Amino acid sequence: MDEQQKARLAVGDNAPDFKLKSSTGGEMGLSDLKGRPAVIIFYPFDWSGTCSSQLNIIQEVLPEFEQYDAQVIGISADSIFSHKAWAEQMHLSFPILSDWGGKTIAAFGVANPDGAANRVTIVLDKDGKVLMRDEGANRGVVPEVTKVFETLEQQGGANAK
Amino acid sequence: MSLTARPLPPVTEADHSLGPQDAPVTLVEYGDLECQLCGEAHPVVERVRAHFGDRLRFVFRHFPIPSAHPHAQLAAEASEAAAAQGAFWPLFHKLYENQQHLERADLDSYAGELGLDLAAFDAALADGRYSQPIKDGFRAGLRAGVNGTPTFFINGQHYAGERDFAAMTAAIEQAMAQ
Repeated sequence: MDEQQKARLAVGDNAPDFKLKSSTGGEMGLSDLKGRPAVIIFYPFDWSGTCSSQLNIIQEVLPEFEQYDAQVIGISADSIFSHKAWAEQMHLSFPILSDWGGKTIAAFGVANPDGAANRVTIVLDKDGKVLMRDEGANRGVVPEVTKVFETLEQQGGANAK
Repeated sequence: MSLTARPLPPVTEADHSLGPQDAPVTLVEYGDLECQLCGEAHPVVERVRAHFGDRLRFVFRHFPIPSAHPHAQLAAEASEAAAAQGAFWPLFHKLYENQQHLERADLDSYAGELGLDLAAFDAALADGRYSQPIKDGFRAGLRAGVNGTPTFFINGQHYAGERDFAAMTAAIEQAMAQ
């Protein structure tokens, strides 16, 4: 737990580097996100009811992120095979990255003791610095998407289209 | 308009509600008619309503998530088409009780069973007149903190407890005591 506490990112910190397989094909990492704001949604598991509705709501409002030129990705410790099947069934068009082994989840300080991710949403600026970190009170509680939009709105001016 | 936070829209005449307007407690549900968790909560809400009788007002607001539930948007529109004929609640109950059967033909079948004017019902679904208002309601719900379905508010406060009879009645009783 101490390791996780140490690793917990604060606003203004640089996000750790990573490179993970994506449900949309190929790999994606921090270097691919730089240049535009990024919304990273860490969640515990594919296929669970809460996760499904959380990511489906993101899917429903995906065009809204474009107003801020922001990219959206999801990350969990599920396999890329699970991600691809789940994303297809749930009609999720944005990248869902597989952190099989949980190294990136740990590096971002969002790991549960079981190794899977807690429900944490992180917004990065175009340089990969943390603008916002929001965590549900427990795994069943979804961070409110409105806080993401408030952060993007505040960031606004410089980056918004 | 960005999806930044806003208060829960107040309950108005435009809402679908059961129970007295001056009931001491109003329970608002944001639901998706094809969502399994909503379907599981439906009988609990019915039992809660029966328990409190005239002391509780229940309001249902649409929050369809079509990427997860491909029939949810049209089912919501169908319930609005029924509402235009004074039959929102009968169709609402039928839809929640038949979540596995929400194809277009099923909707017509339910409307027929309820004795609705099918031509008017079909016309409303065909021209999509309820599509945008439902989408607007989704956005308003999202801005008020709805982050999944079902989401409940008790006297305007987001209810984050268990969706079982004991927990919900306890929360409503607490609201009545305030």
